[in-house]
Amino acid sequence: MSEDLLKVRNLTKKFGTITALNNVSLEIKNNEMFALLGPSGCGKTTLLRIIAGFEYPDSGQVLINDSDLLSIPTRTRPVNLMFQSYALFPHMDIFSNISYGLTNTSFTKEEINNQTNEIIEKIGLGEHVKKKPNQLSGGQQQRVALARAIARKPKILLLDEPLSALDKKIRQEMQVELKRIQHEFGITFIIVTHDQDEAISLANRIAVFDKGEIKQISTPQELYENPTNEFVANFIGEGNILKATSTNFGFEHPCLGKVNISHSMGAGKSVTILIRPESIILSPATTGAGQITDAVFAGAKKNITIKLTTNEIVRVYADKSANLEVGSHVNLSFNPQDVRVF
Amino acid sequence: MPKKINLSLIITLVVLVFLYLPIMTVVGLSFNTSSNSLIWKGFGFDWYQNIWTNEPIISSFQRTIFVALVTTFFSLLIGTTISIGLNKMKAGGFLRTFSTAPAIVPDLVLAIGLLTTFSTISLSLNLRTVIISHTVFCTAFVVAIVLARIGLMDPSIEEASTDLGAGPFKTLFKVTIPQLMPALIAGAVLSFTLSMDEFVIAFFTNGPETPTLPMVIYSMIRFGVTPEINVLGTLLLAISFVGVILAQRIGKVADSI
Repeated sequence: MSEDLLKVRNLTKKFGTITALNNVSLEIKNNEMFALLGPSGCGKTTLLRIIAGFEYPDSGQVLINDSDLLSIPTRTRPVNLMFQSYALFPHMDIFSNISYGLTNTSFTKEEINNQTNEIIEKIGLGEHVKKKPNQLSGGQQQRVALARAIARKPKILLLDEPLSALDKKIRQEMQVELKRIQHEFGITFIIVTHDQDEAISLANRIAVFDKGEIKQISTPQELYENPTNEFVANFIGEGNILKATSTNFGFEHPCLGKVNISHSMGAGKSVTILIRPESIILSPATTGAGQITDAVFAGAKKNITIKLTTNEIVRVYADKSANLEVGSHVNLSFNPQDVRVF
Repeated sequence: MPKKINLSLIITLVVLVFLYLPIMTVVGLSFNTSSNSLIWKGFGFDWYQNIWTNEPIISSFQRTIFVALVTTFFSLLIGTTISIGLNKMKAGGFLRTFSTAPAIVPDLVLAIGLLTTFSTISLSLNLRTVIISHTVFCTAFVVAIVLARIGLMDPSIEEASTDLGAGPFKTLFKVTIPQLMPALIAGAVLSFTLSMDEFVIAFFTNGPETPTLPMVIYSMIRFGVTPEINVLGTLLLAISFVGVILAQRIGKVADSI
């Protein structure tokens, strides 16, 4: 058995003229927290629904432990889905909601009760078993949805935008809770989200989607530090994307001058460069590369917005004590190692 | 300063009197002990006692209840099936319109159409044809009500049931139908009351040996409004009233689960 639990091979799915997935391939390891991240309509939900069994691809393969997943009927797949809307059964109490999946197995009534009670205890829903879903808060409903989805002990739990409906405080609580449960039950989690913070805080690895294609698969840190293309650079974290011209040793920008970096893309081509706001150092100048248009105090730092003479907007995190006033001219400097060129 | 006349209150009262006076007249006169319903002799339940000995009225009343019950059963069965099917269809605007149309088509048109159809296929006219006819338009009402409710349902709930290993029948009976309960109850009460006091279609599609209550009332009324008619009117009103109140109460219970 290979280390990869789930293999997606050359998956393509079209809805009419819209291509939801275009030749998508990826591998997900056992016990991984894997996130599918991308803007809405990028195909991530389609992939989730194909794995769950609610959609069927036009071409391609999905393998689980090296055997075909797509030929397994939806109701018997070793995969469960936690719906974005939770989709709890409103007419059943919490106990019946959680035990529902187990009643569709060959377990006896006693086994079902024992297993359900065990999960209820582990997820901390003991006092609510007799209530109906609409008597619970959003966070509690989410716990019920989670308990219901893992009751059948799936190999993979799919989570559709798991934190999007919760307010900030409960989100943080739930993040910790999801990690704990993933660890405790040893289930592989695949999280679909459009929210980069949610993906970064939860996942070990992230696949960034755009227009039905995977742009990059990597760890959150790697995606932030070494994006391989402009889309990922833009989508993950805050970044300044500027237009420059390549030289034999790096690139040249009208306001930043010639910068030498370790690799070259050949001279004279127009390139895109990425510099993170924390990588830029500002120094006052009488006629600088740009002018400060906004300076906002944000606790430990100051968020500075600069308009370059090329009319490009650059954001910089400066020290809170820095004497940088709106209207003053500045020069920008940075370590060439912190720049990415595409 | 002269007291201001509350115009909207007056209008409200006038409209209420306009709406309910005819009904209250029927109810009031049903307690008249006189054999001429237009002359008030005294308050009493004489005619309510009398009516139980009037065989044609009692048997037509039984027929009417029977027709209403069977119609309700089939309208619910067919209407719910149509609604669930239509809801699954992505493009069904045309079918949706046509499934609810019999509710708006004039009774007379529907009655003539049904009569023509029955005689074309040589189906003899009796209570069976009345039930078929009532089911046609009651089904349309059930579809209208159930379709509205089913549209409010979160489609992921049925998917969740499948995801958790339930087959299509378990999903239908354990998940979909319980959620549609308020609409099913409303549809049942509406079908029952619509069928119970329906006259035009029954008049066209019924045979002469098995008149329903509205038909019997119609034949009686040709000799003037008799006290029995007031009593029957009041009883029909009471049944509809109880039905609607029951439906609301059960509907509330069903909605809260």
